[in-house]
This record gives sequence, structure tokens and C-alpha cells, in this order.
Amino acid sequence: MPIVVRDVTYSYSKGTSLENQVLNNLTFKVDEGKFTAILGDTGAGKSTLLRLVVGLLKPDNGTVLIDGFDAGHRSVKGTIGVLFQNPEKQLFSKTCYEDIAFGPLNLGFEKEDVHQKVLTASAIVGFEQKNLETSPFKLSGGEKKKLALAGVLAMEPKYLILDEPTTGLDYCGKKGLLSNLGLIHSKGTTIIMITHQLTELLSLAQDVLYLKDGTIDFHGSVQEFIEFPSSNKPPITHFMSKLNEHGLQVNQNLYTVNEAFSEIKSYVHKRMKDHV
Amino acid sequence: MSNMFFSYFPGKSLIHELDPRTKLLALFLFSILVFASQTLEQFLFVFICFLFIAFISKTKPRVYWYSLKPLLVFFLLIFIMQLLFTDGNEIISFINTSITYEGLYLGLTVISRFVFLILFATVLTSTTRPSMITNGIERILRPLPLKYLGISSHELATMMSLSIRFIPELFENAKEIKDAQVSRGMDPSRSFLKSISSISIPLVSNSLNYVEELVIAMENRCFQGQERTNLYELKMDKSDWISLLILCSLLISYLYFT
Repeated sequence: MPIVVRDVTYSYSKGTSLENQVLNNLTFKVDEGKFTAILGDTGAGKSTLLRLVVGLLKPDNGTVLIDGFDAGHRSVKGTIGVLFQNPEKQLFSKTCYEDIAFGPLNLGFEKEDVHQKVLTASAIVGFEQKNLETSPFKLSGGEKKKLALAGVLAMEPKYLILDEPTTGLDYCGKKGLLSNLGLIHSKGTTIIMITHQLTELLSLAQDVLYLKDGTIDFHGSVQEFIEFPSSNKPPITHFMSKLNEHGLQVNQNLYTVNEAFSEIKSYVHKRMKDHV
Repeated sequence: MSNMFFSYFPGKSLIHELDPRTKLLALFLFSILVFASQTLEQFLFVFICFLFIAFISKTKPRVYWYSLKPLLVFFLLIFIMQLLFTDGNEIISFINTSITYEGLYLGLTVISRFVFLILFATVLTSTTRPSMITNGIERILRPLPLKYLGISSHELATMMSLSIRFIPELFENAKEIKDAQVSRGMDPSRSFLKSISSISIPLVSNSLNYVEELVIAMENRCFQGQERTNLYELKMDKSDWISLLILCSLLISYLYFT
């Protein structure tokens, strides 16, 4: 089993008057090759869970296993790539090239291999090669995000963990990033993505984990989650429900514009045929 | 939330209730006490004073550990520097350098002073809201003729309190950069010097960006550095005057008898 989280509890500021338990008895597993979305309100414990899975934090109780090893174990090194919430804090090298090459060099790859990996990773995320010799601190927010993702992808991780990667990106940037993630996932990479926005994940994610006050409120497929009472339904699903309420017998459980368009189109055609 | 370095911990104790000016002056007096200490007995006396203050502040021991932990590397470096570069009676020698009794003594003394200063400062920051520290500094500095230097006591107090408030932020930022590097295969324990250099560049860059954003945010909200009234005016109670009197007597007796 690739990623197993068992009975995990975690508190910040332990032993002080500000002690705050953010995760309480969490148990779940992520199957190999799956795209899992972790959803939840602000302060639900999503980013803490990410840090536990990557091995940057140690749980107070319970275990986090990656391929049977404790998270943070040397054997797991290089198999997990993580993109943190603030890309500007993830960049540290003098040039963008050095930043992307940092991971593969640490993993002991030869310089020629590293060069190839840098070029491939920057091409996947659409990072312009002319920018590779510039300073990462001079880039725009969107470019920084792309660069941070390229730095992670250059390690060719088996598991890719992303903390709200689309925050701060414009529409084209979001679309590009999500299609890249789809491509990476299709090559067999297991992806865990933390987000607030359900809509952008629906066409990609296979599993949804919904956190509420540090516990798992829901774990299941995307379709099941849309029908789950406490989930924030996507606007398209809301729109289709409204149409239903007003007497139009259309499928409500749709969540992309294209699906809704096809459904309404076939409904209109059907009604026109009935009239004729 | 994860970084507790010099943070405020709400609670109910005599120390929490004291006026921030009393606590700031007490910190100043304790600093004199710490710097005047040289022998083991004197440091033992400072330690007893600290234990007493810590006990009545009801601050949990882990809070002090949170303050000391990020500085352990610096303490170690300072100790090694004193140990290796102080002349005197030799204990052991190797290559071109030697460890001396004087170096060992000086190293331990300097480290002890730093540790006690951090511990006493932690009592202040863990029992006083940052806004109250600003108010306290501002009220202490108000009688000084700072206007001839072109600054106001409020400006100076804001600068000081922002510096204190920035310390945990700086450590948090350094941790985030380190986490990013560790998650990309770096082992800080194996390449310690390399990790320091690769953390310091983005840390400075991020801090400057942060400071710039903070300045713009303050100017947007019409910060002009002028003296202003407070919602809660500070008032020295009987307990504040008694505390200061005890501390002053203690310090004078200590300096007289040692």
C-alpha cells in the first residue's frame, strides 16, 4: 500500500496554554496511481496533514507509512515531491536553472542527466527556457509557481503532493497547470492535491478526502462527494439543480460546462422533436 | 502557529497582571544582574531568581524550551569560538590551536549570560501582549527629548516592537525554506554550511519583500508615527511599585556584596 495514514493525531504548541489539536485520529490510505483531492475549510488541518505525509512533522500518535517505511525515512527520500503553498518560499537558488537542478543533484544524478531533467521538467510546466538563467526572485507569482513545480518534477517523484497549487494563478495559468497535472498523472504518478476549489479538480480527481475540524468527514469518489450533503457543490451542479426545480428534467449531477452544455442541448433537441 | 519563539501565552498570574513598564524595567535590571555575574555561585543566584519569576508567572517549561531551541546552534558556535581563540593555561592542544582553562571559563560564562537573557526576555514576551510591550516602551521613552533627533517615542516603540514581532516570523520563514530544501533531497545534517548559505539568501530576499509590504500596509492605514492615545491607558499599581522596589533593592545589595 503506497501511502497509509493510521490513527494520526497532531497538536501545535504542545505543553503550552496555546495547545491546539489540528488532527484527530486520522486514518486513510491512498492507492498507487490515484489522484486524490484533499478538501476542507481554512484551518481544517490540510497543510498539517501534508507536512506529516512528507515527513516534515512527526505525528503525536499514529503512523504515516510510505511504501511501508515511516514518512521521513531515508528510503523514501526522492520518491515524494511536494509543492508548498507559497512558492516564493520554496525558491532559493541564484538562477532558475540551479533551482530546478537542486533536487536531482541532491539525489546524486550525473550532470548530463540533471541537465536533461531540468529541460524536460521546465517544458512540462511550460516554463520558458529563456528565463532559466534569470533570478527566481525576479519572476511573477505565476512563473514562480511553475518554477517551483518544475523543481519538484525534475526529481521524477513517484508521489506528487501539491498544496493549493492554483492559488494566485489567472484562468490560463490554472488551466495550463491542471492539464499538466493530468498529463503527469496519466504517466502513473500518484497525486495528492490540497485545494479549496472543488470545481477545478472534478475532471482530474478520482478520490476525495474532506477534512472538517481535524477529522475525516468524507472519503470516497468525486461522484459520491457531490451528492454528500455538507459538500460545497460546484456552480454548474447548482445551476442544473435549479433547472430541475423549475421543471426541466435534466441530469443534476454534472460539474463541467461541457457536460452541462451537452445535457441542455440534448434536452432542447428532445423537446423540439416532441413539439414537431 | 507552529513557531512559539518569543510568543505571548495568555494566562492569569501576578506577572501577567503587572504593567508592561514594570516588566520592561525588570528585564533591564535582570540584564544588569546577568552581566554582573561571573562565578558559579553568582549564576546560581541568577538561576534561583529566574526559577522564582518563572514559578509565579505560571509559564510552562516548554515555552522556555521553544525560545532556546532555535538559538542552540548560535550558542554552540559562540562557545566554540571562545574555546578555541582564548589564550591561557593549556588543557589540550591539537594542530595549531589549543583549548585553555580561560577559554572554557569564558565560553561557559558567555553562554550562561545569553541563556539567562533569553529566559528573562521570554518571561516578558510570554506574559505581555505585543501591543502592550509597544505601549510600555512608548511610555518609558516619552519623557526623552527624542523630537530633537527627528523621531517620536511612538515611532521608536513601533520599530522596537516590530523587531520583536519579526523574530518568530524570521524563524518560521527559515523553517519553510529548510523544509522546501529537505523535501527536495537535501540532508542538512550532512551539508550544514551549504544549507546555511542556501537558506540565508532567500531569507534576506523574503524578509525585505515582507518589510516593504508591511511599510506600504502601514502607510495605507495612515501611520504617521505621532503620539496617540490608547484604548487602555497604562497605570502603575501598588504591586508594580512594590515589585520594582524589591528588584532595585535586590540588585543594589547584589552589586554591593559581590
